[in-house]
Amino acid sequence: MKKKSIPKDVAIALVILLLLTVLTTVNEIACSRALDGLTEAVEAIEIDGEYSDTSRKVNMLAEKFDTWSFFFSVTVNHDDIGDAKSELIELVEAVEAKDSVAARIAKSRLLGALGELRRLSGFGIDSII
Amino acid sequence: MASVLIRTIIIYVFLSFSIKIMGKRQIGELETSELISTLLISEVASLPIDNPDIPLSSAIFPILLIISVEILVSFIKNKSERMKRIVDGEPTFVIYRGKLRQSVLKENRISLNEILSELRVLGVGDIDEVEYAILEQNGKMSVLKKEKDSMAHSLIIDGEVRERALSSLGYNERWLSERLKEAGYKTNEIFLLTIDDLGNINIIKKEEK
Repeated sequence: MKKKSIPKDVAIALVILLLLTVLTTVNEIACSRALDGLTEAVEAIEIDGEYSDTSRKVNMLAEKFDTWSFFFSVTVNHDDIGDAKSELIELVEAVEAKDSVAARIAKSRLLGALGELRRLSGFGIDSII
Repeated sequence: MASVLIRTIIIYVFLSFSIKIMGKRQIGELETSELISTLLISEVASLPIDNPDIPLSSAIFPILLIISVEILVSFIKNKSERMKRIVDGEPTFVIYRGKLRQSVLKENRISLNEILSELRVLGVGDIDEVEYAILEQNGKMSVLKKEKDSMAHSLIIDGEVRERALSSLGYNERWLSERLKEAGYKTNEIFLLTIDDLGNINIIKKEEK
């Protein structure tokens, strides 16, 4: 009995679908972990703590964000990444200026921006609709 | 990213449904699924061009998905006559055995003037010359004139019996089974079986692969 073979273009289509599924899954997991790490790093910043420690943590956060923003930019709207980056810059400036009120506000807004990035890069009914 | 891909599928299904409602006339040269793919691809492709903040993957991945889905839908349509009917619809007889089917004009929102105009474009000056006029799936009209041309009606396509065609010609499955038995064939062995207006049956057997 002769085996029925799948046409070449159908096989290519199936491979593309499989690759898209894998890439999407990997992207979801990687973005989620990166955002978890960034959120934890932001939450760990103590505004009223020792200045040198706060400054160090903020600068490490900025480096981490720069590394990950390239990865985010592959799939997330650059505007939204830009918004988060702006909040981070505000935080850095507020910490450098030793302005605890501004730093607290910037920290809160940065957490909100990261939450928004998580929502946009994640998978859920609200992001579909 | 998964949301973008799912949105692509939802929009694809939505466009399929919308164009089916609009009817054959809007389609022109392309089949339904091809038209949807073309529309979607052109729209999606333009997004990162219009807005640099939108990442390229928002166009590339959906386009790859659309192309893959189009290939798979075409493959399934070739395998299943029923699926082809669901996705692309069926050719519709506007004139059948010389008689204008007014209900078909109404269903497809075509006026008599448009039919007469189409006939003239096809070189037919008098509607009375026409034995069959068919509104094809791609929205074009094809015409077979009386006496000069004969119409071959497809009763079996790729192993599937076209029951509506069979009953519209006044035959039934029992009659068809008997004809196949006489010719020494089974239904699933047939690639194409047609019958013309004189009752002549033509059979094309499926090729061995």
